[in-house]
Formats: sequence, C-alpha cells, structure tokens
Amino acid sequence: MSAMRRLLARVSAFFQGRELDADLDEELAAHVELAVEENLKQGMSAQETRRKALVSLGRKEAAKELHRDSRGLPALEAILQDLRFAFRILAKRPWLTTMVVLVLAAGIGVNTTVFTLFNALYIRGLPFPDGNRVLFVENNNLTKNQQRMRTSYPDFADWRAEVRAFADLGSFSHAAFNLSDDSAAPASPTTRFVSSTSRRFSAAISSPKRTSPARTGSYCSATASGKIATAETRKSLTKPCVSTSGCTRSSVSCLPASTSPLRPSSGFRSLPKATGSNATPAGWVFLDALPTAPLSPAPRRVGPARQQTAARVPRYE
Amino acid sequence: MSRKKLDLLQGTLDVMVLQTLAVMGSLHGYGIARRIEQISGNEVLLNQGTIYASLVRLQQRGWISAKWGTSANNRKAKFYSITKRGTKQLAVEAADWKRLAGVMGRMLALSSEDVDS
Repeated sequence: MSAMRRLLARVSAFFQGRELDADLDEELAAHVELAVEENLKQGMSAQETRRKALVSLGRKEAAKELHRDSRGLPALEAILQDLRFAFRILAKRPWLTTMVVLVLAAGIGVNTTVFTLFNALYIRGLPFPDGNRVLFVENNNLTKNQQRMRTSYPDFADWRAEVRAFADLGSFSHAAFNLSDDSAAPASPTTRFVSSTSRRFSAAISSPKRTSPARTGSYCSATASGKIATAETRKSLTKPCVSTSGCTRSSVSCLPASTSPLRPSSGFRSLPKATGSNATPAGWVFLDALPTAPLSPAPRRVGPARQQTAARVPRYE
Repeated sequence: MSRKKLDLLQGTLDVMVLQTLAVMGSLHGYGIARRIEQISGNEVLLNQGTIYASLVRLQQRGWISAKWGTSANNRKAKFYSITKRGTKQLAVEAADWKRLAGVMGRMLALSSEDVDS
C-alpha cells in the first residue's frame, strides 16, 4: 500500500519537477537563514555564521540532486536527458544526420521489400484457402531415375476421377505463342491444366489405372494430402511419358505446390518396389508425416458420384 | 583531535527523522537536522542537505505531512509533522532496530570462553 502510494507520488512528482525544485530552493534558503539566526545568537560574527551555516548544509546542488532522485523517477529522467542530448548533437551536425537517416531509410526499405517477397513466395503460400495444402503432383520414372516428367492426359483424367487423396485435381499448361511473325510456327507447345476447386481432402488411395494399353492391369498407388493438386500432362496419347510397361516403372509424387519448382524432392520418400501380383503397388512415393486414411475403392465416374466421394473424405485439421 | 564521525547507515536517517517528529511535534528541516546532531552528540556525520531527501521520501509514503508556516522569529519555513500512519510505522521500525541492536550487542559480546563452553 505504502509502496503503491509512493509510486503514485513519484509519478506526480516527475511531472511537477519545476515547482518542487522551486519549493526546495525556498526551503533550503530558509534553512540557511534559520542556521544563521541560531549562530548569531551564539555570538558569532555575521560572516562566520553564514559560512558555517552553508558548510553544515553541504553542497546545495548535491542536496537538490538527492531530493530529485528520492522523489521522482530517476531512471526515466536519465533516459530523457540522454534523448535530449542525442537530439542536440543531431541538430548540431545536420549533414551527418541527413546521411544517417537516408542510409537507414534505404536499409529498412530494402529489407521490407525482400521480406515482402519472401513472405509472399515462401511463408504465406498460395492464395487459396489452406494454400499450404496445395500440392504439385508429378510423374517420376523410378527405373530410369527421371523426375518431373509430364503426365499423359488420360492419366490425369483417371487420377481426377479416381484418386481420392485429393479434393480435386487440376492441371496446367505452358504454351508458347508467336505474336509477331505469321510464317513462324509456335515453338513446341505443351499443355498443362490447373484446377479451380478447393474442397478439403485428406485420404489415401490405391487406384486401378487403365490408361494406355501398356498399363492395363497394373496398379499405381499414391498417398498424399492437399487441397488442390495439379498434374502435368502431355496431350499426346501416342507418346506416353512413361515409355515402358506403365506403372511398374512409374510413380506419382506430390509436392507442396509453392515449393515444387525450387525443391522438387523435399519431403518425399520412395518405398522399395514391390514385387508380385497386379494387386501390389509397384512404386510408392508419398509425403512423410501427412495424414492418411484407410484405402477404399475409388468411384468410377466423374461428376455427382465424385462429389459424393469428396464429401465422405475424412477431415484432418 | 576529534574522533571520526560515524557514517549514517542506509535507512537510519528516516527512522531518526520519524522519531524526532514523534517527540518534538511540528518542526522544520533545519530544526530536525539540529536535533539529530544534538542527540547524537555530534557523533554522526550528517550532511544537513540530505535531510530533505529523507523528508520527501517519508512524505511520499504518507508517514509525515508538510505545511508552510512561520517560525518563532516570524521566519517563513516548511514545517513537518508525523501522521498516524507514520506513528505506526515508527513503532515497527523501532522494534526492528532494537532487535538488530540486540543481536549486534550479543555478537560483539561473544568471547572465546562462550564458544569453548
């Protein structure tokens, strides 16, 4: 209680410094007069009495300093004093001050710009709801150790219809156009698609693939998690991107879409190739530490049935 | 040659001021300082200016109150007097000091015979 009262008194004294100083000055003057008076009574000379009174009072400035420290907020006062000093020095050297301000402004500006870019590219993720769950799906040829190969469109269509690991799948394309010269043909256009839906999903799937004849009867498995996945695909059916016997040599990997172009294999692990029957997955590539759900038969049809499936997908928060 | 005066221990001055005011009633800064010097028999090194820091501390704690008035010789001065809370506080502090003084007395009276037995 007493400490609280003292703190309040200190704060109020801090704001009344000038008046309190004047009050103390008056009090110290009275002190000297009282001392002089008493000494005179004891028969000292007038000069001697004053000298003696001043000596026994001690240094006036020291007394005032002590008084200020006892009554106010000395730490805050010291900081304010330092600040005042700093501003005086800055005002005294305008050129140096200008240079320092400019250098600081440039430094802060550059830092802000870089961080804004970094934040947009790596931290905030893609501008979709739960953008961090958007994945990039790609084809890998495990035997030939080829990564990020294109995906055939029928593959994509099948995945989209049957892979329940994703709320939705989409693909995107790069295309080259010739805008200036009529005679020149566009340079090797390729096609990709990008999806637009954003249903939440999280599941695992083992989906039968029936795309090109070479792959009939083989099985691919992918385990992944995400919201929108994109699949690269090649339009041409005549040139399947996995050139030999389909899924036994290929795998699908999923990457967070925002990181995919820069770190294609982070967070992925290839499992040993399984051997034996058709029912065994041939190659697995999956995201570590992402939630999976029990395998379930995939719906065969795109459309209402597919949406139903998505609604049944378990949610992981 | 006079003996070297004692330095005041931290916190002693506040108790001295409180006790002086409790006994003397209303008094100005100079009066308090003189009284302490007299009672100590000039054994204590009192820088009279420091009394005002002590007075403002006690005032902020609400243990003493201050009022401008006039002295017996019609001189303007600030008069201090102890409050009710100050009296209570003085009792507490006095008890503490007595205990400490007792302990110091016993410590310094300790002789080797006491330890051996």
